[in-house]
Amino acid sequence: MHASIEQLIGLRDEEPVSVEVQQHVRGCTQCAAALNGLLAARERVAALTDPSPPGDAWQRITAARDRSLRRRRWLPAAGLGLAATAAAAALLITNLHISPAPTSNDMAVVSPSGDKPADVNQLRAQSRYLERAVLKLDGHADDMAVTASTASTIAALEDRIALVDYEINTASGSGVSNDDPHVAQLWKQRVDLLQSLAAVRYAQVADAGI
Amino acid sequence: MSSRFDQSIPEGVLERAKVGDRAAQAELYAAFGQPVFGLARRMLGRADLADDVLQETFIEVLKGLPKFRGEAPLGMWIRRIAVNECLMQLRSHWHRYRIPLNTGSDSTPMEEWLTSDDPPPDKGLDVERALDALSPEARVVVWLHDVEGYTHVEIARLMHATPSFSKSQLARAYVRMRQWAGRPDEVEPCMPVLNS
Repeated sequence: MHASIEQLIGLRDEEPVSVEVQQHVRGCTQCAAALNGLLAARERVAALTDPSPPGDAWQRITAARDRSLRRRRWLPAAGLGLAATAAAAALLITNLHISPAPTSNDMAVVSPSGDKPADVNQLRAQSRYLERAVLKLDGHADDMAVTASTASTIAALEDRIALVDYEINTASGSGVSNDDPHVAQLWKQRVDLLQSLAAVRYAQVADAGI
Repeated sequence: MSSRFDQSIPEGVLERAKVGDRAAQAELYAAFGQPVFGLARRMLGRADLADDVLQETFIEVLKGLPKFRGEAPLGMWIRRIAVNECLMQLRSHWHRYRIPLNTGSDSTPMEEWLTSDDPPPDKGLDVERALDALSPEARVVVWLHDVEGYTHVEIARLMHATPSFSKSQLARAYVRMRQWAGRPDEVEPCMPVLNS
């Protein structure tokens, strides 16, 4: 009877393992070899070097931080938590202009301010921010009764987001550059869909009077 | 176990960064940016998601720096923020819809060398692919436990699970990795199981 892989990992990590198992592994060439293999595997994983982050990451971080500080000045000082989330979502929904999904002819992606082509990094940051807002609203909406039409709208929006994610992944996996207008188009669609989802969730929470 | 987050910072940098000195903050990024990106890349299996985590982590770091009292080493504090950001990504509603990018035909040579006598061309790359091929939960457990030195109890707390869950994920990961990262004779599982 041999040791299980969990017992061998326990031995490898110097965790408490029964004396019976320890004695067995000491005397069993198969188990000893497996233990050595696990030690080697751990070393190999730990030896992986950290990849370098993208070269423009720090610039994007400071830009996002500055945007966040500017945005915070517009939020009401009182009413943190849900109120802040809802206000932020509403502010975004207002500022970002909810628009229909762009058509194939509409390749000139427009920034939220409408004056120049949108930057993919900016769209990704908006997408992240909205996703967080939606998640927070979800947390408040989870225990609420929801009408069939609202549930259907939410499901449809989530499905469309999943489809856009799939297209973004496919483009990324095919080596399409972030500068490609099609990629920006996809991120713009994702932001639009998230705005719609945030609006539905916000309405749900607001209707419940929370 | 030493961590990639054990980085020394020149004296005075932290204090200057706390009061908003951009150059000092950039120095913190220079020290911890790569460990954060590496951690996120390994835990999430994707560079684009790791990029998101890198950004969110440092935004949190910059926001929280003025309140950082130094009860824990700076690197451990940053690591905790990064780990939480990674777990938040994994809990994202849309994460489950995202397809892994490394499921293409480039996995075939790995299967070929497993059945051949030739050594793999690049073991580092193989381990990387092996990690990426794991389930998100298993990948997180392997990295946090075997590289960052978290205990199963700590991992369980982070993942809202039990220590047994963490242990079983680690065991399953190595069974799976044996097929990808190690030669079959290197980590041969011993069955049946000893009663203990």
